[in-house]
Amino acid sequence: MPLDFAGDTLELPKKERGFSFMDKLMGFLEKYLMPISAKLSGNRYLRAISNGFIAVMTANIVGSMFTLIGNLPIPAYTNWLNETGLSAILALPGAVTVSMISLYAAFFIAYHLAREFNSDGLGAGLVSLISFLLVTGTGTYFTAAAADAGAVSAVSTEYLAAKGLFTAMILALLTARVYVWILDKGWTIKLPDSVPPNVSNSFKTLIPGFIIITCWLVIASLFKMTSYGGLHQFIFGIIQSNLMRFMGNNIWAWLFFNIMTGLLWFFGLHGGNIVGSITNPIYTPLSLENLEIYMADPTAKMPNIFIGTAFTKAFTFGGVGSMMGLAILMVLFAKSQQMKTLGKLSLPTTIFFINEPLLFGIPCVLNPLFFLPLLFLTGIQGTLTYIVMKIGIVPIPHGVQLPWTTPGIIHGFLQGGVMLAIWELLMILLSMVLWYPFFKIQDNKFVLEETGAVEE
Amino acid sequence: MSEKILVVCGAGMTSSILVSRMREYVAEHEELDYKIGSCAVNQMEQYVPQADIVFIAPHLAYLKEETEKKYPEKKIVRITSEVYGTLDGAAVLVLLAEKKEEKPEKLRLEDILVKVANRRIIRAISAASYRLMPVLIIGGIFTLLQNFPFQPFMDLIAGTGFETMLKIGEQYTTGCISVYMAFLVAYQYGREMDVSGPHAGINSLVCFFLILNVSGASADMTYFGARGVFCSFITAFLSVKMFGLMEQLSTKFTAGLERVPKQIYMSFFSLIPMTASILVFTLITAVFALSPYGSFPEFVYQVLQNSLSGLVGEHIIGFMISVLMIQLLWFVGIHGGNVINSIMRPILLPLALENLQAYRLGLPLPHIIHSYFLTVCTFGGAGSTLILALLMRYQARSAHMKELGKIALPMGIFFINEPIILGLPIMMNPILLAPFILVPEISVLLTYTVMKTGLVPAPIGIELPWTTPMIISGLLQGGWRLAVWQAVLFVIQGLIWYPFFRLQDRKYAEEESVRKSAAAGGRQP
Repeated sequence: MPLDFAGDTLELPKKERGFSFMDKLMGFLEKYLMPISAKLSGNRYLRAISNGFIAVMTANIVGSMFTLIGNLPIPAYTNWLNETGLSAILALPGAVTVSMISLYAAFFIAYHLAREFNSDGLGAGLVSLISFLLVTGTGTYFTAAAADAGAVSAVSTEYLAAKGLFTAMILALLTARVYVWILDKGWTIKLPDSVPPNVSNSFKTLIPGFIIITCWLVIASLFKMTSYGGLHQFIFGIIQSNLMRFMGNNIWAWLFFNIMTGLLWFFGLHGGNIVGSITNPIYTPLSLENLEIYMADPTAKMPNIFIGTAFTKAFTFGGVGSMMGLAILMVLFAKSQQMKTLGKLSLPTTIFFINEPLLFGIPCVLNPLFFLPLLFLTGIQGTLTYIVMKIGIVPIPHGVQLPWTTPGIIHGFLQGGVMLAIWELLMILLSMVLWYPFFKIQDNKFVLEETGAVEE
Repeated sequence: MSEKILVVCGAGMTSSILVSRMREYVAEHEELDYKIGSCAVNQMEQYVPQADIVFIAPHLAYLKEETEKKYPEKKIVRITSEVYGTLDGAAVLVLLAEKKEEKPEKLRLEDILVKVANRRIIRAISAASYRLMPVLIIGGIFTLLQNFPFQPFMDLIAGTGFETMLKIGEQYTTGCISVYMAFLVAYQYGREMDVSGPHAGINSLVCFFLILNVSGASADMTYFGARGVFCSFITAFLSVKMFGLMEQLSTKFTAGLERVPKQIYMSFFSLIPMTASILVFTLITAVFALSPYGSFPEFVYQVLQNSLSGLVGEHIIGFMISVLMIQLLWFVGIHGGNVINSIMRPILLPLALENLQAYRLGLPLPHIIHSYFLTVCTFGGAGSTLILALLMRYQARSAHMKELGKIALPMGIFFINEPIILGLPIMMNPILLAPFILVPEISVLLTYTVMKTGLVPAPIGIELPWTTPMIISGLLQGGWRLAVWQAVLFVIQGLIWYPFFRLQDRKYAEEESVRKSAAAGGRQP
């Protein structure tokens, strides 16, 4: 069957608002929530960060894949890899992707920010990449190479990994913004129009590039003299590590963001995108921090539980509100034609975390009945998951970067092994239980409508 | 019905002059019935479909095949360079009447260059080099300040720690050139191959780090700089090829998937190019780790070095060949000096030290050619462009050359000439290829001769910053006679550059005046 869920068998949202409290709440939220959402999703800086992360995602996923292949939880296999020396080779892809992610992010965040301003993305990205390497390298140069001029130059990779991601973000945004600003000011070497455009374009980068690179050189050198020992160390020490300690294991912060996501979806706004623009910059480094530790030692205990999608996908299946459970219920138990058809249609896509057919088809959006499950269902699941992970019954996800469409259970197996896969199975069942009353009410309503329609 | 002729050139300037002359000719000859127009290369999509006959300027000849393929019904004619150079409107039409094309003519250097330039990977490399030019200039400024030929200044920066800062600045600009190349070449090559630039770029960069075996607590930067340039090209080329693989695989497998939403299967298929690239490069890395070279970049470097040092073996001819390679590399947009010198320095430096030893002991100098030879006989960087910069600054009529001269002259004194090579440009510019190669080659040969005969002393091989300006370097390396020779040589170089400088200048001046009159007299048809 083709995936056409906009067919005329499905009804448009009904404007039956049950209780006046609901009306008031909606009025209030629409008044305040909408403008905030618009602000957030329209913010160029947040968008540049999130587009930058998307650009480096493939590298993360592929690197993770090789890490997984090198660390499958089968002792005989890993021993064999170690003996043949293959494990060192299989570790290489991870070392040049996940462990250098800040370097790539420094380019792409600047690239996308300059593009947000309709300016020269490639030039801004290049200047940002150079500046980032320079800031990273200042530390090593002062110690090793400066002492012995003949020494082979080398750059420390410590802060090229997740540890330097905050510096990369800040540096890239500042660099790109200043780059665009200088170009807009017209502080460029102007060559006559007869010069081919590729030549004059590259001359454009010269002055902003020189100013920005020199500035970072001075800033990095000044930070080198402080007690922190470098810009990276400063940003990591002041912002990133504190934020990590706070967010990585803070259930309340996570619950707040999770409820906000559900709330936005309730209004038909893409909650994941909007809330994610704030949470991704925080949760992504946490996730990569876990992965770094996992790559170094597959048996280590992971430090962060709340690490973005790798965590939420341990219990959320079928997108926001764990709607795969709902889709299964619809296929198995629906009495109304509408629920059954829609269930069959959307179950396969919910396996891959696509649930728009349900959100807009039943609809869940702006449907008072679904207010509670959309906002709180995954919160309940997440709290339970947090508890079992905290106790240590279920392993904390390794932060392995996987395609966002990786189905549940498989996801659990790859992220934490058998126990996590079993937990994911339990969570699917739990979501069915939690969805059941709401499903039943909606189904009955449709049955009434359908039979009523026949009588008329 | 009259036939429509379109003349295509780089910016639509020269062609518009040509068109006006062609129109004059057509007006004088009643038997000819043509409508003639011109356009720039980036307007071809728009105008070629309306034309019957398309004339292509000689420097764009590489577009001929492509255009013929795209519009098989059109007649595409390449204008010969003689006709184009003299802007002979009548001859263009004669060219058409005789249906004479340049093909049967002898294969000339220019044709070969055009063919080479036509390769997508070469086009990508030169586009990437343009992009990197500001980085090289910024790095050059840091280098210049570190090697500033003024001792009090040097003492000052060494004492205050500024020297270290400048070194870092150089290290992460010029010193990481291969890293940026790996990204940019793939970015540009990807765009030539209809692959998203950013995707191709990050894929190639990942592979480049992979092949350099960057792992562990610190990354060895030996191949980040000039030593890794060829390796970065190979990486970019191969990794972009992997995107073709994805194309093939996804068309093969999506046939049965039309019921699945595209975003689901694309989330997996989009991983193919990088997975395939990483597999290939991991394999290469693993295999070369077992070879006697120890790594792939070392292998590339050694092969290159061995083949070159074999050539250099017997002094003057070998040395001239290495100069030729530097010039040719620059011509296609690669920093030839960096690449070749990284290979030549280990060979030539010991010779300079031997000279210096002999000088201290008061013995006759054993070598003429060593690592400081080139800096005493070419001035202003590759191609000895200092005199050209001077001519541009004070003799040029076109704004293009005059403006560029203002930037290039002060930098040229200290042997930095990227602005000229890439901005004039010399790169990929057939008009200036001959002097670009001849000037340094003749200078090297003449200097060698006068030194061999003993008229001028050989350089003693004292270590000087390579940025030391001419005359000063002559005084320090060989005394007043060498300084005088440098002045003589400077004039000789000027004599060789001059006619080509005039030719280029006239061309720009004409283009500029056409544009000016076009701006004054409304739209040019």
